[in-house]
Amino acid sequence: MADDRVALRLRGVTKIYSLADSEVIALDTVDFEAQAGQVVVIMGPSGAGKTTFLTIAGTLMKPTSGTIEVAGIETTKLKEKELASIRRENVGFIFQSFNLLESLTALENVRVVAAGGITAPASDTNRARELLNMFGLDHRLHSLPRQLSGGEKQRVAIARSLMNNPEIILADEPTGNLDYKRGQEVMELLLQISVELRKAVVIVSHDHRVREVAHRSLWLQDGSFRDTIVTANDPVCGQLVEVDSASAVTWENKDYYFCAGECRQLFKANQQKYAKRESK
Amino acid sequence: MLIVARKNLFSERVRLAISVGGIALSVLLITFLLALFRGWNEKVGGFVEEVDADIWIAREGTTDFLVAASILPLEGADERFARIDSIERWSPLIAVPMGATKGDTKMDIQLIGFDPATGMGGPVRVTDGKSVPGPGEMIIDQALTSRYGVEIGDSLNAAGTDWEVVGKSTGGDFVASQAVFVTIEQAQAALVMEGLATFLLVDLVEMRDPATYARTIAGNQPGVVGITSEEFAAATRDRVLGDVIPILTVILILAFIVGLAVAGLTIYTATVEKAREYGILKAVGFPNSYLYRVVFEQSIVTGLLGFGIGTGITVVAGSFIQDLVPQFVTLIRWQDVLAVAGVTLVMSVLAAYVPIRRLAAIDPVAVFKA
Repeated sequence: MADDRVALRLRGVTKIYSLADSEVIALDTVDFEAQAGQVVVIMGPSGAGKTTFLTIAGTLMKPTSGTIEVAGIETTKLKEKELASIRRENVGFIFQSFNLLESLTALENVRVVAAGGITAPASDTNRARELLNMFGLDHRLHSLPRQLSGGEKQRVAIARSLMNNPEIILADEPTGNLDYKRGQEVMELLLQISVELRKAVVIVSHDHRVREVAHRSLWLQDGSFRDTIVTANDPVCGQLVEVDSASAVTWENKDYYFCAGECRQLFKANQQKYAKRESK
Repeated sequence: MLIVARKNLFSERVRLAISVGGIALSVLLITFLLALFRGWNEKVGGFVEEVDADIWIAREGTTDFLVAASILPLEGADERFARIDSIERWSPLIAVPMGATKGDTKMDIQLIGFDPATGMGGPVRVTDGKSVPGPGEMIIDQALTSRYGVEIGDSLNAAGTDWEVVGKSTGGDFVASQAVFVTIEQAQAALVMEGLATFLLVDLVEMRDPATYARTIAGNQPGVVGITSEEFAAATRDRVLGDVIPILTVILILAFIVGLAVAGLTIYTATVEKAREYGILKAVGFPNSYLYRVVFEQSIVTGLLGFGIGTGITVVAGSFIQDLVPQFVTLIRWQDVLAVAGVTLVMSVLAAYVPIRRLAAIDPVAVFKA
C-alpha cells in the first residue's frame, strides 16, 4: 500500500480567474497530499474546479496563492522552462481524449517523451517497448493512433505517462471515452501502476466506478474539498452529484438527482426510460 | 532531425508537395532569371573583353560598342601613336550595326571589319572553316547558324554586298545581334569608308595603366575619347541590360514573395492544425524551444527540398530550353547558386517565424478539454 513519501503536496492553494468585470474562485485554500503507492480520486460536479486542480498540481498553471511541491520540489516560484523540466521528469499525464500524436506510432508516442530526437537511445526504445508489452500492446508497437481502439489508445497514453518513470500520475477522466469493460481495464491498470510501481496516482473523474480502485476519494465542490457528502448518480448523464446541492425530482416514490437543468428536463421528458436505466 | 518534425512533415504528403513546390517554383524563377542575366551579361560584354586591346579610341560621344556613331580618320594615326611611348601596337576596327538577309530570312548583325595583320577585333574563336576571310568572304558567329540556319557556303547580303560564308566562330553573340567578320578593306569598300574606321584599338606594353594612357591619347587629339577595354565592356553591357535590371529585380522580389507566401502559409496551416499536439508536447514537459525547433526543422527541410528541385530543374531545363530558344542564353555560376541557397534559407526562416509565434501562444491547459 501507500508509503510515507509524499509525492504531491498542495498547501493553501487558491486560484482566482479574473474575468471582465468579476472574479471566479476556482480553488479556495485547498490542501492536498498524495503519497507514492496511493490512488486518489477527486470527484465533483462540473465547474467544481477539478481540472483547475489537476493543471495546477501538474504545474501547467500557477496558483493565485499557496504552494505546490512536486516530488519534494517547491514549484510556485520556478520559471516556465524549469516547470517544463519538472513535468517531464516527475509528472505523467493521462487525458480523457488520449492525446496521442497522430503521425507517430505507438512505440514512438511512448518513446518521444524521453528524448524527442530522431535517434532515440536503444535504452529508451527498449523501455518504451517494455511498457507497451506490459500493457498488452506488443502487437501494436508500430500502429498509428488511428489504427488503435479507444482502450488501446489509452493504454499507450498510460505507457507514455510512465516513460520517464515519474513519481506522480495525473489522470483527467481516464475512462471518459471508454466503454464499461475498457474503462474497468484502465482503472485496474492505474491501481496496478500505483501499487506495483509505487506511483502516486491522482484521478479526476465523474465516473463513480473509479472509486472502486481508489485508496482515497475526495469530493471537490465550489473550489473546496468536502469531508462528508451524500452522492447519487444523475440518471441521465451518469455523473456523480452531491445530493444536498443537486436539483431533485421524485418519480414513483423515488428521488432522482441531477447535475444540471438540462438533465432534469430530459428526465422529465422520458422518466420511464431514465429511471429504468438508473435501476440497472 | 527531430522525430516529431520528420513525421509531421512527411505524413502530410500533399501539403509537403505544395510547400516544396512553392519554394521550388520560386527558386526556379530566381535561378533562371539570374542565369539568364548572367548569360546575357557574358554574351553582351564578352566580345569587347575578348578583343586584345587595352584602349578603345572613338569619336567623342561614343558610349558603347553596339551603338557606335563613331567615324575616325586613319590618316596620320600612325605618326600620332608613334609619338606615344608604351603603345605596343594599334589597329583600326569598323563595327556597324545593320540588317542582313539570307534569301527571305532577315537578321540583325554587327558587321565588323578587322585588320587580319594584327587580328585585333577579329573572330574570337574560329570553330569551323577559314580564320581569315578573303575578298567577298565573311566569317559568321555560330549563333547565326543556330538561329537562322546560316552555314558555310551560304551567301549573306549585307551593306549591299553578297558575302560568302567561309567560317564560323564563337564569342560574337550579342543576343539581339551577332557579329560577322570581314577584312577592314572589304568593310571600307562596302560601307564607303575608305580611310576611315569606327574605332582605333590600342594595345599597351605590359604594366602600363590603360586609364592613364586613355586620357593621354584623348588629350592629344580633340574630338576623340579613349576608353579602357574594361569600361567599354561595362558600358556595352549597360546599353543592353541597364533597363532590364530593374525589371529583373522586381520579378526576383515577386518570386521571393511567392515562395515565402506558399511556404509560410502551408507551414502555418500545418502548425495550426497540429496546435493541439504542440499543446500536448508542452503539457508533457517539452519547452517552447523544442517546439520552435520542430517547426524550424520542417521549414528548413522544406526549403532544402525546394532548393534542390528548383536548381535541379534550372540546370536540366536551362540547356534544353536554350536549344529550343537560342535567345535564352543562360549561365549558372556557383556563386549565384550559393546566393539562391542563402535566399532559400532566409525564405525558410521567415516562413517559420509566424508559426513559431503561434506556438508560443498555445496554452497546454487546452489539451485537458475533450
